[in-house]
Amino acid sequence: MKIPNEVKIGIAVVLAGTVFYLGTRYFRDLPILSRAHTYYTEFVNANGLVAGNVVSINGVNVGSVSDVQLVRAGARVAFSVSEDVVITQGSTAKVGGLSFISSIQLDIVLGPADAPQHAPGDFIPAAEQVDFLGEIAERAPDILSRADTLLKNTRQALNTAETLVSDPTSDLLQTMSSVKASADALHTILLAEQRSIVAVLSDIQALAGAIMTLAQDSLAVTVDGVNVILERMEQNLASLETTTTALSDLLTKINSGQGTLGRLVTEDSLYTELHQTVSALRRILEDFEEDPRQYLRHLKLVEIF
Amino acid sequence: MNGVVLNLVRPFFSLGRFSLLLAKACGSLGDIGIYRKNMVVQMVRIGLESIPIVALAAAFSGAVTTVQTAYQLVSPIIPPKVIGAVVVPSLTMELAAVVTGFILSGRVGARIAAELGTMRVTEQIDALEAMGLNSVGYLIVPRVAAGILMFPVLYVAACLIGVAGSLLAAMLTGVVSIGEFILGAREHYDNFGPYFGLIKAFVFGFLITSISCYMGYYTEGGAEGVGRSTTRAAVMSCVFILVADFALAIVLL
Amino acid sequence: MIRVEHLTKAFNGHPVLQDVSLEIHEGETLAIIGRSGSGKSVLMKHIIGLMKPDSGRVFVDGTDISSISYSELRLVRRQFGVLFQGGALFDSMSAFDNVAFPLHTFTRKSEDDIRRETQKCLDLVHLPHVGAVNPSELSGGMRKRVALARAIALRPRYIIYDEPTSGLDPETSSTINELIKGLARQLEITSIVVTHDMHSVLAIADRVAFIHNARMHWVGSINDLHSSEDEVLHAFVKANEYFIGAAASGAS
Repeated sequence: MKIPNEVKIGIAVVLAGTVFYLGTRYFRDLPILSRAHTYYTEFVNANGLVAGNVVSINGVNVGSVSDVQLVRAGARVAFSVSEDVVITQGSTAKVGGLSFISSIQLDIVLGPADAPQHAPGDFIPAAEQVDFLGEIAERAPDILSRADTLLKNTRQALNTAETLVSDPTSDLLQTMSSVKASADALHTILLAEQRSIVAVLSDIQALAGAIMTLAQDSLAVTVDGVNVILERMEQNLASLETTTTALSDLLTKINSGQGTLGRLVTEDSLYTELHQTVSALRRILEDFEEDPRQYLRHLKLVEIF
Repeated sequence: MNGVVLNLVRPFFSLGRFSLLLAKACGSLGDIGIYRKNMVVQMVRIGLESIPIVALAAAFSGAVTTVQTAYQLVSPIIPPKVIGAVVVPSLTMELAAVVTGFILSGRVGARIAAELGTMRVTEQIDALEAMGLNSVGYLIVPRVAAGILMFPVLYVAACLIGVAGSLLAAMLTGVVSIGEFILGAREHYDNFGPYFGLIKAFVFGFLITSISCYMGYYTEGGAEGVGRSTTRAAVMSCVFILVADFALAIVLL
Repeated sequence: MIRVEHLTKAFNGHPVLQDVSLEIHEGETLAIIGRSGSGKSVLMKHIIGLMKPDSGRVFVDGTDISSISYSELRLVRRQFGVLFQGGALFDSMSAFDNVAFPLHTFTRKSEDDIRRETQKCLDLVHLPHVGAVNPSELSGGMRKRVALARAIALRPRYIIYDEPTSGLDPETSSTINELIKGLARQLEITSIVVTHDMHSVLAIADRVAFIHNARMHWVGSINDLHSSEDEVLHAFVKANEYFIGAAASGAS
C-alpha cells in the first residue's frame, strides 16, 4: 500500500516536534518523560549563574536553572528539578563551582530528611554564600598591606633600639627608656594585629582547601603553590612574632631591674642575645621588603585563567 | 551614463518587484483550494526528499567540529567536557541551520528556479493565468509555505544527526568520552539556542524558496535564461542566508 | 464581443502597438496576421489581460478589462481558452491530467464526470488514446492538439490560437486547421487566430486583421482580401502564398 504524502509529512512533523521537545529537555537536564517542578531562590550575588546551569544535590545533577533575573535586592533565580526529587523544608540554595572556569552550578543543600516537603513553586532560601577566589583576591592585598605596615613599625622600633644599644656613648638610661617605649609600641601593635592576621590566614587556608577539593589537576598545582606561599608567610609572621616577643621579654627584664646597666654593658651574652634578636628580625624584614608583592602575585596566579 | 543609472536602480527594482510578488502571494493565501494539493507535493520534495543529503552534511559537520574542537583545545587546564560544551551549541545555533540552508540552496533553490523558469519560457505560467488561475497562488505560495514549514523539520533532523555524528566521532577518536561530552553540553546548555536555530530555519526556509521562486518566475530568454535564473537562485539564496544569519545574530543574541 | 480601442503599448520606449482598434464579433473566426514581431502576440496578450496597455482600452462583453481588479480579471479569463504556440502543456502532469486540470480547478464535478468530460475533449481533437502519456513524449502536433483539448475543456466562449500551425508540417497543419474550423462550428466558439500562415488564414478565417508597423493596417473579410488594392497587404499575402506553394510542391 502506498502511503499518502500527507501521512508522510504528518509523521515527519510529529517526529521533529518530539525530537525537539525531548532534545531540549535532555540537554536541560530535565527528566525526559516525567515532569519538572520549578522553585525559586534569591541571591545577593548570583556570581555569574545563568539559565541552563546545572542544579545539583549532593553532587548529583537533578535539574537546571531556567531563569536568572535582576531584582532590587540581588538576583532572583528560577530553577526546575525533576518531580521525583524531594526538596525538604529547611533546604538552602547556594551558587557553587568556579565561575572563572565557568562550571558554575546551583547547589541545593537539603534540609533534615524528616522535614515536610517543599511544594512546587516554593521559595528556597539562599545559604550564606562564599565566592572563594573572589574573597582571596579581595583580601590578599589587604593582608599584605597590614603585614607591611606592621613590619614597617617593627623595623622602625628595632632600628631605634639597635642604634641606641650599639652606641656606648649615649645616655643609657635614656636609651633604655626609649627602647622600652619602642618595645611597648611594638607589643601593642603585635597584639592588635596578631589576632586578625592569624584569623585571615586561617581563612585563606580554609578557602584554599575548598578550592583544592573543587578543582583538579593543574588548578590544584597552582593552589598548592599558593598554599606553600601562604605557609611561608605564616611562618615568617610567626617567627617575627617569637622574635619580637623575645626582644620584648629582654627589654622587660632590663626594665624590671633584673639586670643593671652595668650588666648590660659588661655582660656579653645579653648584648649578643639582643643583637641576634634584632638581626633575625631584620632578616625577616628584608625578605619581606625585597619584594613585598610576591605573595600577592602568587595569589593572582589563581585568578588569571 | 544611462547604463550606470540603470545598474544603480536595478537592486531597487528587484527588491520592489520581489516585494510585490510576495504581496501578491500573501494576497492569495486565502485561496487554499488552489495550492493545498501542490503544497503537499512540495513539502515532500523540499522537505522529506532532502532529509538524506541534510543528514549526510549534518553528520559530517558534527564529526568535524568535534575533532577540530578537540584539536584546538590541547591544554591540560581545559577539561575535555568543554568539547561537548562547544560542539552542541555550535550545531544547534549555527551549523545545523546554515549547512542545511546551503545545501538546500543548491538542491531546492536551483530546482525551484529551473522549474518555474522553464514554465515561464514555455508559456506554462501564461497558460495558467489565461485559464483564470492565480499563478502566484498556484506556484509560489505552496513552495514558499512548504519551505517555511519543512525547514524547521530539516533543522531538527540536522541537529539530531549532527549530535549523533559528534558522539560517533568522539567515540571513534577517543578525544572525549560520551559521558563527558554530554555533561559539558548540559552544563553549558543555553535554553534559547535551539529556538534561535529554529527561527533561523524558518527564515532560511522562507529566503531560499522565495528568492528562488522570484528568480524562476521572472525568467527571461529561453533555455539560457533558465540557466541564468537557476545559478542566480542558488547564489543569491546562499548570500542572503549569510546576511540573514548575521542579522539574526545581532538582533536576537 | 471583444472591442479593442486605441490600444498603445511600448517596450523600453520602442512602440509595439500604436493606436490599434479592433472589433471581434460573436461567433466569427478572426485571423490577426502580420510579420513576425509585428505585435500580433502582444495584441493577443492584451485581449486576455496578460498585459496592461500603456493607453487605450480592451472591452470583453462590455467590461473594460484593463481597469478591473485581478480577481475580476481572472473571472473574465475563464471565458477564454488559449492555445499557446508550443502548447504550454504542464510537463509535470500526463496529457490526460493536463486536460482535466481546468475541470479539477474550476468545477466541483465528480471524479467520474471529470474523467468523462476529459475523454470527450480528447475525442474532439482526435486523440482518444494519449491520456497516460507525458507531454514530453508527444510530437509537436499532438502536443498542440492536447493543449487544444485543454483549452476547450471548460467550454469557453472565446478561443485564442497563437501561431497554431507554426513549426508543423503541412499535413499536420491542415489537421489543426480542420480542428479549428470544426470546433468553431461544433461549439459555436468565437475564435481569434494569431498567425502568419496565409494558408491557415484562407482555410479557417471569416475576417482578417493585418498589423503592420505597429498599426492596424487593414481589416476586412476574407473575400475582400484579394480584391483589396493595398500594396503592403498584397506583398505580405503574396510572399506567403509563394511560400505555401513552395511548401506544397516540396511536400508532393
